[in-house]
Amino acid sequence: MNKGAGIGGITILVIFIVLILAVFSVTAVTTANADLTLSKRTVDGVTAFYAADGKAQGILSAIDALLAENSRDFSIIEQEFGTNIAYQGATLSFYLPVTNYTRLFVEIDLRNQGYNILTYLVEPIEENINYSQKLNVWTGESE
Amino acid sequence: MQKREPVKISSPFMEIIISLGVLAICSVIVVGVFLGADSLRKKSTDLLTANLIAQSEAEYIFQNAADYQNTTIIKDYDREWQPVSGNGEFVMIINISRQETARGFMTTGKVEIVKNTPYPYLKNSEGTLISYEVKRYDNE
Repeated sequence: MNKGAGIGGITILVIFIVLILAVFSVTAVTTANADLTLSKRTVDGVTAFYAADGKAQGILSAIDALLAENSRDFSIIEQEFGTNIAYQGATLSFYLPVTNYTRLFVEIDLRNQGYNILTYLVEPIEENINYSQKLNVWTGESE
Repeated sequence: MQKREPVKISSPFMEIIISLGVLAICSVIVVGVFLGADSLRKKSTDLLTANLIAQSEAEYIFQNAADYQNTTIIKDYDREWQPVSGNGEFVMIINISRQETARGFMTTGKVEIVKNTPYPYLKNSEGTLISYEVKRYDNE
């Protein structure tokens, strides 16, 4: 008995296998691409930190040079490095942006003919973080 | 007008042959996609490993900045990131310069990790993986 080539069980099985393979391969590529994007962001974050860190080291060098001349005119440094320097009493501090959400905060003590680093840390910029988007989690108290 | 008789292909063997052909073509494409995904995953892992190694090396050098004057350090690594003596798949280049300032020294290090061979199934994937400049000021 002659039969034309039609859709039989084998065709359906092949379509099913191909669909499964396609879904798994697309998932694999999507996951790998997401991992790569995350890795790039990590590297970008480190690069941004070192850029800010290098600038901070340059500012510290410039401050030290001013102190060597017994000068307290930090406006020259502000102009050169494009940052605001807060100077109160014997404490001097400045911020340098690292990413959109973080900045490097440096605080130094100008006593003792030189300077001592009091604070040197990366902190979040709270103005750029929208804390209004809070997740309502269960706090352990029944309603 | 004479009607042409439709050609009837006998037996389910034709269906099997066509199905196997389609399956073979799709399998080749899917294997290519999987290999591409594997290369992406390797690139992702290499990027993070390169970042960690570069940071560790840079920080170590800056801890001993006085020992390194103006110099270039080159280190080769194989594909598993094991140090090798030369012709590595990855090459780390650190250019260090140390300049005297008014009251101290500014050490600048440019850290770069380069991949010599491209990743399979990824176009233009050789070249610089990471590159950044690290500075340290010391006045002691």
